[in-house]
Order: sequence, then C-alpha cells, then structure tokens
Amino acid sequence: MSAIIVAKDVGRWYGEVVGLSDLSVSIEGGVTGLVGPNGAGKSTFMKLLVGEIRPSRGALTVLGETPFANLRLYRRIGFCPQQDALYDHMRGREFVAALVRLYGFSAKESNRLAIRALERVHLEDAMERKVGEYSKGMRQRTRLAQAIAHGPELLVVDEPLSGLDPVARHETLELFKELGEAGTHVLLSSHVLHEVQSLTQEIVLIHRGRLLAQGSVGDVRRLLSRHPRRVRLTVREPRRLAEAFLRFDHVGAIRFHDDDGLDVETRDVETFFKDLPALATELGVGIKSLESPDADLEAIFDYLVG
Amino acid sequence: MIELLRATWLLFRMQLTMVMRSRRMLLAILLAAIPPVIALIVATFAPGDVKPGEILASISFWLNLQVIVPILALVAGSAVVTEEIENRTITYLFTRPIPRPALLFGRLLATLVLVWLLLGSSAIAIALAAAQRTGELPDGLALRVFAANIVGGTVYTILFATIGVFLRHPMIVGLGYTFAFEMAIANVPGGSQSLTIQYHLRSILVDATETCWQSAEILNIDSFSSPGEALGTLAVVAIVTLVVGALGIARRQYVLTA
Repeated sequence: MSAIIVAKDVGRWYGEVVGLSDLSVSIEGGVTGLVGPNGAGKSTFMKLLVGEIRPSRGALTVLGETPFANLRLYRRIGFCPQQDALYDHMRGREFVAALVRLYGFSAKESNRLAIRALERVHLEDAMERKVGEYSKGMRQRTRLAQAIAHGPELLVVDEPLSGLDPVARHETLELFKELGEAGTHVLLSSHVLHEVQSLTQEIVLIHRGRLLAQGSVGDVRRLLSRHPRRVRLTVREPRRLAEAFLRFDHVGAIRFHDDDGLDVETRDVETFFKDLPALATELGVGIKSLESPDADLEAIFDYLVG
Repeated sequence: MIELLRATWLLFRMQLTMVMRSRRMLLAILLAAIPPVIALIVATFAPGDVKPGEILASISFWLNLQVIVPILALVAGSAVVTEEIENRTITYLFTRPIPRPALLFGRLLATLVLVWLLLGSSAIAIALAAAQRTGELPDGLALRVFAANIVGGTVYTILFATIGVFLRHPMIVGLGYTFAFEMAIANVPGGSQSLTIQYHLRSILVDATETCWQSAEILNIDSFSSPGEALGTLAVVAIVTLVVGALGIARRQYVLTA
C-alpha cells in the first residue's frame, strides 16, 4: 500500500511556541492511530493535514496533494475537529446537511446524506433537536457525522472518543472499524494508547512535536515494556515483601513510605505483575492497594525521549 | 466564479439566522433606536419656531451619520469573521471545498441585510418623528437621509469586516478609527476632510441650498462634493476594501484557541 500522508521535516510554530518540530513521517492507508500525550502536537499535525494551517517549514502531502486551501483535496477528506464547537441554533440534521451542501450536493441529496450519517452515529432520534440542547457526547457524534456524511476517502479525527460514555465509545470504535473495512482511510488521534490499540495495529507516536515511534502496536509495546515503571503498593508487611523483591533481577530500587507503603521500580513490569500474586500469597503479606503512578503516556514518552 | 457565488449564497443562507441571533445584533438594534427616540423627544419639546426639516437635518448629520452609523457598522461588521473564529466554527468552513472568500462574502451579505434593515428603519423613523412638528419636510430630504444611512452602513461594515480578517480584535481598532480619525478629521476645516468616509456621506446627505442646512451650524457647507461623485468614491472604497479582505482571507491562517 502506498503512503497517503507524507511529511518531510515539517515544522510549525505559533510565535515562540513550537507545535511541531521537524516531523518526518509516512503513513500508509487503512486505520492509523496518532498517539501522544496532551500537547504533543497531534492537533497541530491534523490541522496541517486538513489544510487549516500551513507548515512553517518542510513539505507535507495528503493523498498526493498539498493541503492548504486545496479545494480538490477537501472533497476527498473529512475532518472531525477536537473543539466542541457547533452552530448551536441549528438542528442536528440541518447542521450536517448545511455543511454537506458545501460539497456541491443538492439540498435533497445533502439532507439524505445528513440523515444517513446521523443514523450511523446513532443520533437519529435527536436529529430534529437543536444542537445547543445536545449532551457533550451527542455533540461529539454530530461532529463525527459532518465529517463522514459525504463519504470521504480519508477521515481525520481529532480525539474522537473524549467525552463519550462507554457505550458510545464502543459504537464509535465500531464505526471506525466499519469505515476502515469499507476502504476509508482513517487517522485518529488519542492520548490513550489502549483506545487506539483496540482499533488498529498501526500507530504513530509523537511527543513534543517530534516523531517518537511508528509501527505496529506490538513493536511499540515492546519498546514501552522496557520502560522502568514505578509500582506503589500498600501492604501489611512491607519489609518482608521488599526482601522478596530483591531476589528479582528486574527490580531496581525499593523505597518505603508511611508505615505500610512500598515503592518498587521495575524494568519488566509485565513479569512483575505476573509474579506478584503468587509471591504475595506465598508470603501472606496482604496487599491492600496497588497502583502504577507513572504508567501514563506522558511518563512513558518522557522515558522514550530520554 | 460560479463556485464562489454558489458558496456565498449558501453561506449567506446558513449564517443569516446566526447573525440575527447574535448578541451583537441586540446592541445594533438598540443603537438604531437611539436617533428616532431623540428625534421624537426634540420634535415634541423643541421651541415653536423649529421646523421639522431642521430636526431631521441636525439629528441625521450630527448624531446619526457621525456616531450611530459607524458604531452600528462596527458592532456588526467586526463580527463577520471574528465571530467564526471566536466560536471556533471556522474550521468547518475552511475544510470544505469552497473558496475561502465565500466565507467573508456570505457572512458579510447576511450582516449587511441586517444593517440595511436597521439603518433603513432608523432613517424612516427619524423622518416620521420629525414630521410630528407642524410644517413640511423639504423635498427629498428623507430620501437623502435614508440613502446616506444605507450607503454609510454598507461602506463602514465592509471596512470593519475587512479589518476583522486581519486583526484578532477589530473592535478596538475600529473604535480608534471611528473616533480618532473619522470624527476628528471630518470636522477639521480643509481638504483633509475628503480622506474620510464621513465627508462623502455628508456629501450625499447635505443640499447646501436648503435652509434647514444653513441653520444646522455646519462648517464649510459649500465644500461638499456632489452626491454622484461621493457615491462613486465610496463605491471604489468599498470594492477595494472588499478585494483586500478577500485576498486576506484566502491567505490567512487562523489559530483557534482552546
């Protein structure tokens, strides 16, 4: 499959602030996840892809075209922005139909496409209500409907799952799967790796405006598993458990806190969590709580960046 | 070109309700109501020798054209592009296959329709209020007030909409322009008056041969150009400003804040 998005040394600054810095990436078709912590540059990259803004430097092509103000390209892409902004005075159907009309469809056809798109995002019962009355999740789905209504070749979706309840989240992921199976290329951004993971194997990791890793989820997970992870436990007998941990090669440092707290740093978190239940049972130390405070993406990215 | 006209028409229809329902329009309605109310008060309480033509001429010249028309146009015109940016909905329009100037033209047209409606009604209401006095209005005066209002509303709205294409806070610049430049220069005797939109609007409004203008204490009343000449100059100003705005919006990048 050939690349649908090619970025070469793309940089984008907002005055003194760096949005993207020398990003070079080539994205094949299909469903791809753009993953990175908040402020990584995902939204900037997406705005560049849909031609809302221009790169400060470097070259970018989407479906073989330069995006900024490219009307030919706009017919082929759909964009669901992150910002919760809609024309609140309009009804859901009117809103989507009005935007579809701008693709050159007749009023009747636009209306038909709008209804179909709203049905696909499960808003058929609410489409005659004013958008201003919608819940956050419904507004998110309306934004998605306007992006898919005209049947784009490439769908660019910025944080599509934020604000959705678990059912809507599942339905939205299913929709992306369907679109992907039907041949639509989907690029979606998220700061939550496992959300993207449930949808696609192909991910692009960016952080602080730079490409960090690209490839299958398996490749990236292997990379991440080597990240030294801190695990915080509360146990009845912390000293006995700490003594047992010292036998493990992957355990680097152990710190005590309060009377029953234990911070353990491990270089192999998967093995750690595999062995922990048996060890706790064997010693009878009674684990009261367990958490991994630096398991979030920001910490992992910081580790990868070094 | 056909694509631009089609998109302009679609956006005009799409945005008309939005423009109508905006808070700025409420303010515009209040502004438009001020001159007729003042005209009614003056017509009711002025001394007996004051003629209706004098009331209409003075209020139109000193209050309506100099203050209300530019401020109302500023309130409405500065929102043409900035409202889409502030609401962060500009993304939907800029990622559609429509020429970018259609956004400016479509929303501007929707705004102009409302500006015309407000300033046109205001002009008629001032004339009706002044006509409460005994005596007749001079021939054509009400029509000239109406025309000056509509032309003034149009040119100023285009100007402030174009400023909004380039600046994030067009209201501040617009206020500065209205008070520091237009009002000041237009009232300083000499040739520099012709640099202002106000001067050309006054040229449409004033007929120096009528007695009502002679008693309105207007400086250099004989220096105004002919209405035809003034209309031509203002048309050029409006078209050039519109072209600059269209070129600007085609190239500008708008960074939306979270």
